[in-house]
Parts: sequence; C-alpha cells; structure tokens
Amino acid sequence: MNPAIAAEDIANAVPRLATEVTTVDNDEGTIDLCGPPFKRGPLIRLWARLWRLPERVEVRLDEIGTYVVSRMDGRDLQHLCGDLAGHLQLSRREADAAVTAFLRLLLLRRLVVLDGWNEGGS
Amino acid sequence: MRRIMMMARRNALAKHRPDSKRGAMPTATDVDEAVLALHGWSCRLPIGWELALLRGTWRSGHLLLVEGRAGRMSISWHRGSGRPDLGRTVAKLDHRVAQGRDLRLAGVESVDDGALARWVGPAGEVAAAATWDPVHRLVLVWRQLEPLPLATLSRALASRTVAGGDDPCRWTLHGVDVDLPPGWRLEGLHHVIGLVRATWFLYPGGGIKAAGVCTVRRYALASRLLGQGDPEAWLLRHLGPRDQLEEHDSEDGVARVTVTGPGPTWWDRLRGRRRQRCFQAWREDPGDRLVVQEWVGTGSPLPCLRTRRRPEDRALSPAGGPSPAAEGPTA
Repeated sequence: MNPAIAAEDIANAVPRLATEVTTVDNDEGTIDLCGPPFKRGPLIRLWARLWRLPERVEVRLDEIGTYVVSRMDGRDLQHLCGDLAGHLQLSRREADAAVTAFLRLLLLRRLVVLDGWNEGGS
Repeated sequence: MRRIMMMARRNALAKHRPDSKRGAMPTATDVDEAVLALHGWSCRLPIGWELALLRGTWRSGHLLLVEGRAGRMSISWHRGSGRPDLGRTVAKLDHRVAQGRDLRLAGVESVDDGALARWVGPAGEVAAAATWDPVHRLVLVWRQLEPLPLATLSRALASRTVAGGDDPCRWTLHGVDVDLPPGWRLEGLHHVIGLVRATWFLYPGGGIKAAGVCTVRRYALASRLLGQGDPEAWLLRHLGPRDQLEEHDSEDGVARVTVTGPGPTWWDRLRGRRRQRCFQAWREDPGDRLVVQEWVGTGSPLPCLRTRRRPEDRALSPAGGPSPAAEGPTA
C-alpha cells in the first residue's frame, strides 16, 4: 500500500474477501482462508510439484482474525475498528493499527479487497 | 527593540482580551480532563487527547499531543540554570507558528511567570505560551497546533505542577500510570500495539551511575494472556531458564515473584555473584490489561507501583476500557 495515502481515505473503504476466496471452519474453532489455485505454466507446475510447493494461499486465522473476517459483511474499516476496540477493550488507536496491519497482510496475499477506495487517486 | 514592540502590542491588545484576568481562568475540575505527567511536570488536558510522540530526557525534550488523527498541542521543556528571556521565546514562537500560515500576532500577555501569545487567522485563533518555574528552573513551552479554544491552554497552564529532582513524581505514559520515588529517570519507552514498556533508571544523588532499573510493561488482552490462570502463574511460567526462584506469593491481586540469576558481567559471574530481580504483576480490569513491574538493582526493591486514582486524577489516554469510538454497528 502506498504510505502516502491519507488515513481518512481508507477509513470509509469496505473490506471484503476476494471473489474466489473460500472460508473453511477448522477444528480449532477458527477459520482458514483459502485463495484460488495459482495460475502456473506447465514448467512451473512441474517444478512446484517436484518441490511440493503449495497450490494456493491458505491462511489459518486465530480467534481475533476470525472475529475481524467474520465481520466483513459490508461495514467500512472504521466500523470494523470500532467493533474490535469494543470487543477487546482496546483503545481506538490500537484497534486501528491492529486492523490495518492485519488487512495489509491479507491484501498482500490477495485474500481481501477494499471496496470504495481507488488506490490510484481519490 | 523587539521587546519594546511586544510590550506595545501587549498593552494595545490586552484591552479587548475577554478573559485577560488571571483569576478568570476556569478551574481544572469543572471539565472532563485527564492528567499528563512526566519528567517531573504535569498538567491537565482534555480527556480525548493522546500522547503521540515523546522525545527527550528529564533535562529537556518535547512531546506531541493528538486527538484522533489531528495534532492538538506540542509541549517542550528544558531545565536550565538561569531565568530565560521569555519575550525572546515568544518571538521565536511568533516566527515558527506564523511560518507558512496566514496568521498574525494578535496579542501577548503575561501569565504566572510566563507569557502567552495569540495568533489570529482565517481558521481561528492559535495560542502558545512559555512559562518559567523559578524554584525548579524549568521552562515549559506550550504551542497549540490548530485553532482551539484559548481556555484549553489556559487550563493547562493553570493546572501545571513541577517537581524537583529530589521529589517523587508521577508518570503517565500511554496508560502506564505510576508514582516513582525521587531519582528515577525515564530512559526508554516502547509503545506498540497492545504493549507499552517503560524503563526507568535510578540515579541516586543526581549521579550518572544507575543503581537500579525499573521496567513496567502493560499488556493488552490480559484475559487471553492469562487464560484460566492468575498473574502469579503467568510470571512463573515466563521466568528465564537460568532464573532461580527465591520466593513467590500473591496478595490483594498483586503477584510477587523474586528470582536470582547470574551476574550481569563476567567479573560478577567469576566471583559467583548473583543478581536479584523482583517481579510484581497485577490485572487492570477496566481495560483488560496485565501490568508487570520488574525491578533490578541494589538495596531494597521498589514497592508495588499499582495506584488507585480518583476519577478526577485519571491519566491521559489510558489505553483500554470502553472506547469512545467503539459505537460502530454490532451484530
């Protein structure tokens, strides 16, 4: 993400799971996020099979991550932060930083997209 | 010359100052305020403000206060030997505040051992002040970063207190709120998501060799950290592999664990000297925090630093507790 982006710009962005991402309940009571299979050419596919590389991004969330992802139902980022702050008794600044860092990791893995916000400009 | 001009401005503008009488300053207790205390001085500020930046030492430094994402005030302090030229300080402020902004100096007036200046611009009024404590030789410079009611600064000025080097003093740092005996100086502050760690060194008699170290850590999500256990069990679980347990107990919600470990230097270890460390831990229920106090040093250990404040003495930006911004939709 561009560090020059103002916080106000993304406060109203609505995070949601990317289209092809699926959620799977695991035995720990949390959820796993499974991305779509990687698009690989035949040679890379052979190489990946040889080295047993993963075929897709799979992320196991903890309780807090599950709480945040389960609330991605159309609420914007600031409401998501407010919910987390109230749930975990965090200050608003702590919740902002935590949710932003978490979403940044998911964005890097293309598991989440931000609606209502254009990275290219306002 | 500059001083003369400032005096003229002061005389001209003092006439239409609505609250130029010092006695007209509102008291600190009639509004929702919290205490900011560090490096031997303290003041009262609006409850929603937070400490965003802190640089410096007991001798000098500066800090930045924000409310949400907006900067509110910067405060700098300096302990010097002589009485400063506050007029010159205000003139510097005039240069700095008005630089690049459409502001003009609207007045300078005297406050208790200091001066207060106001600038007027299209967006409103910005004020700054410089105060001098002659007993402890401390200069404080207060600067509003955005147009704010002058009463905010006036209340902060009226409520300021200054402690000397031989006095105990209070520290409020991102929710850590402790009273330390004389001689303890803040040497490190680490604030990340869910953890505040503050470290003080004890310099007895104003020397330069530290005789003790006190570290206070304040963790968020205490209920998750502790699980079904209590702070004592948590402390015992997190001892170092070379720590030898000496004693442990719990009383009134405070767990105490004393351990000894190898000496800090090769010389100490060759001589078989061991270093004692004392841990005390307790929960802060309103914010679901776990506070761990660690003491290392010579002499008698620090007592438990847990404090129970009155509501009007609450610390600025106590992280945790019901967040005022947590009113978003809930399922």
